[in-house]
Amino acid sequence: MNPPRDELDPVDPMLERLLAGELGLDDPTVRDRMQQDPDFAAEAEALLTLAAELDPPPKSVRGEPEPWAGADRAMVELVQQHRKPVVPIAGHRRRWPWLVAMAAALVVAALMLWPRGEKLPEIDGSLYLQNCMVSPRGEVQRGSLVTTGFDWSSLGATPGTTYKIELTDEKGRTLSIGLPATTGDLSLPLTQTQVDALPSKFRWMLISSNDYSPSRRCSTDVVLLP
Amino acid sequence: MTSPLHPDHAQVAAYLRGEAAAATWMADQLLCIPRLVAWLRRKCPSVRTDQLPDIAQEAGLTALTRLASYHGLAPFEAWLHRICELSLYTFTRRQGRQRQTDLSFDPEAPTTPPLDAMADDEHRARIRAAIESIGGAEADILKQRHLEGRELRDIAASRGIPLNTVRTWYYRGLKKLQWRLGEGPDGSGVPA
Repeated sequence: MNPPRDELDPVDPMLERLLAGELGLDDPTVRDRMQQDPDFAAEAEALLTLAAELDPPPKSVRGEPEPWAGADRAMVELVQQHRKPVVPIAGHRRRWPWLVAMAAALVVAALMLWPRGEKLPEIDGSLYLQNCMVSPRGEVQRGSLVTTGFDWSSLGATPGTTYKIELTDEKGRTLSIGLPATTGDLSLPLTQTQVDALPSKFRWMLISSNDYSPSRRCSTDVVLLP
Repeated sequence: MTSPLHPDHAQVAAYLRGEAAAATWMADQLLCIPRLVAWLRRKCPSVRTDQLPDIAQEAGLTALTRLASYHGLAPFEAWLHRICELSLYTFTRRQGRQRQTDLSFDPEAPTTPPLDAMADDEHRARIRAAIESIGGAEADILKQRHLEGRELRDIAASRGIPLNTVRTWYYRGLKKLQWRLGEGPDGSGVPA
């Protein structure tokens, strides 16, 4: 079975030329379009990725040495932090409904009985981001922070969401480096002065004002390398 | 007989089901990412070496969040290769916007590791079967492009048809294949 016609049409001339290899991703018109048109960007990336699977596979790079110190460890940690909850597969769904119900009841009971500890900061009655796929995280070069700033674009936020960033040092003391109270952007650039004011170890917390995801909080530890 | 899917597809599916052993496999696979980023950086010399860890991190995140788009036609590493390339482009696009500097790719620079073009017969058989499943002129174009390595311009010239038509067939061929392979390793997708 093939897709219905409306799945194929209308054809986008720029997408066709991009797939044909006549335009590159570094072409200014493509760059602008991908920036302004997320649907186009998503479709282009999906089809380019599929086309890459059709091409002869590149020679494996597995034998290459670790290109920079800590590169491998960062990838292992990434997978550990990204472990997905178990997704039921067809045929096994609802196999142990009583177990699920019991686990849910235990979780609710634990939440009700758990002593209230640290009071989590809030903005606009917000929830806290649980998915901490943000940067910086872990060990980063201090100098690179001026370029990258704080970035949470990979969280896939919905329009209208605002964020607040809180910084604390190793001992949990709040740091103030002149960040805006809130921002609607998906990243927050830092000036050299702000980066210089950061201690070598700090924690930053991203707080969303929008419950677009099953989120709680996003707290990320950073070690700045000289 | 060649399996319709690369064995890596089952591993990705197992990872998405939350199986612990598959997480170890996935971590091992992702070790390719910094190496691929380092390779691809040769194509974009204006990217500084101290930026590579960030790009690798972004590529890793992108890979983990888009696993469902891996169709299992090629080794997982080949899919990661394209993810790294896209991440590098995204990074340069963002940097170029912020700093108004020229971060374009250098087409003359050495790019990727050398290809094992003809070595993987099993891969070619798998690709051929997938492409033939969609049939029609679109399948012919996909085969000539990906199995014979021909440019669309050459295909148009040899068949005596307008380049625009060949581009459209190629695009539609990819869309049909995407539709047919729609069910990703997470079990989601369009009906095949």
